[in-house]
Amino acid sequence: MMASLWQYVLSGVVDGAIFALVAAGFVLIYQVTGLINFAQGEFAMIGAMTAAALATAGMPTLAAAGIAVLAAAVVGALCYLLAIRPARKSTGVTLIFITLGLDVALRGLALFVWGTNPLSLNAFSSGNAIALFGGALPPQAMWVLGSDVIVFAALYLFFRHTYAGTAVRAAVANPPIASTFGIPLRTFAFWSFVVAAAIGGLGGVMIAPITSATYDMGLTLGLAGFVAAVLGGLDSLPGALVGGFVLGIVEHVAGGLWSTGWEQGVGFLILVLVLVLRPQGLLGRATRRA
Amino acid sequence: MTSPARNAQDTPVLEVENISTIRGRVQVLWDVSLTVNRGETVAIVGPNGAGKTTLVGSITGLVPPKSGRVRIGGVDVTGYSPERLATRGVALVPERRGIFAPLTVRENLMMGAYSRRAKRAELEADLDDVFGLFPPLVRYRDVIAGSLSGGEQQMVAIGRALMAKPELLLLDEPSLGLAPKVRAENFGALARLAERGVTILLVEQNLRLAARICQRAYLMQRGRIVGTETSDELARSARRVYLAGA
Repeated sequence: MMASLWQYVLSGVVDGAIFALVAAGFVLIYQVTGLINFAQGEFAMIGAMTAAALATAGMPTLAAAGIAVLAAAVVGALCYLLAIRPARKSTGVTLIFITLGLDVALRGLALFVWGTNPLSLNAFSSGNAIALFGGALPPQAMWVLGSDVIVFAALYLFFRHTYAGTAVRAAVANPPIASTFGIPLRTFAFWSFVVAAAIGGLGGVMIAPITSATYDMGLTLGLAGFVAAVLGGLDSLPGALVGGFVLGIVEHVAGGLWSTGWEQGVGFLILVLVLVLRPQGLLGRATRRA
Repeated sequence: MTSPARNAQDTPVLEVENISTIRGRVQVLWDVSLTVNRGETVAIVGPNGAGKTTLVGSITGLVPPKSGRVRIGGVDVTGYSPERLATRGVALVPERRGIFAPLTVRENLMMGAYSRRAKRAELEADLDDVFGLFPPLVRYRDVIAGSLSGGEQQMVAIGRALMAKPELLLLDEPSLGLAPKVRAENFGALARLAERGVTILLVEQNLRLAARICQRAYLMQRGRIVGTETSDELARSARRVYLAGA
């Protein structure tokens, strides 16, 4: 029983790491623009599908993965330039509906380009499963966890130890006053979409060897990423990391102990509890602007 | 921080020509005109609701005017975004300070210099200059600015604007909500800046404080400039208001 439970936790950690990457995209865009981008999961799908399609066409796996992350970033840039920026003076609700429209459009585009058949992608490294205290992790899990470490460390260093990162934090704290000092709010909004899309794309690329890639995987990943982001606190990148892992572990343990039908249900139950007991999320701030 | 040449004193840094501004569906400013010359300290005084903050917003691009012209250093900047205007050397100390609360004092000050793209060594020297002007800030250098008192936050807001090395320093109600002792300290620092030749446009309700540092003042009422006074006249007006209220 305990051995099974430990294995569920390990599997949850791998999924949680992917949820954390998607959640980081949600948080990044929300922090910089105040917008919840419901198309975030589709960036992961673009990453996964592009990498799998290129690898299937004969490209080396790592090269395909790199190009896929770039492709997701380009799609993120286009989403901002073509859909969000022209409507930037609209109300928040309108913008959220635009992101929902983008979500549907990107999924439709993927269906048109790649069809309904799942595409597979080889693991980035071969070898046996890694034994860990009686449980086992697939070799690809190390790539997934390594991606989390690199992405979150890079984001931390950028925001805390660079001039541009400090300027982004200033813009988040007080946008109109930041603009009077020449801090370019729109440029930051653009880059938040590009970076969030690249991070989402990386998440998709990393999980594709484990789950395979499908045109509609963005819906599930987007929903999980959103729940993880809200769990952790929409304005907190460490919260996205914690929220992702909590959600991944809870889903897998619930699914393993009871049935897979419980997975998402328990995740949402935790979300409701957190929203009732601590609306700002596990690591979010109660008030976010000066 | 800036040391404009004294012989350039008659050069207008700011020219506002007949601007009218609408906020929402209400016209707040009506044909407002004023000039601030290099090295001058000019006050805009008036009661609550006179349109002083809207005028500051129209100058900084936060509330663009519906008609009229704004020139900075002779360049027509009407319709410029606040970001673009920052590169023309306009720095704002906003009403209620508007500091970046989650950032440290040092980070707040550094953000003031964002539009300058100066080298780090130059910025460090300018930081030392600000800390020299506001010594209490030195020990709060790495403290989160939102945790400071109102007076200390006001010092951060003024210091942050000075880091921009502004051609024109705009201060919107810098005495608002501060204890008399703190107000006096901060206005002492502003007086030292004025002596250094920094061009200042001060929006202030407290006539006595305004008269302490300005050379002349525009009187605003209901969105219009209704008169001008020298600092001596403003000091006398302040005394009359004070005695009338006593």
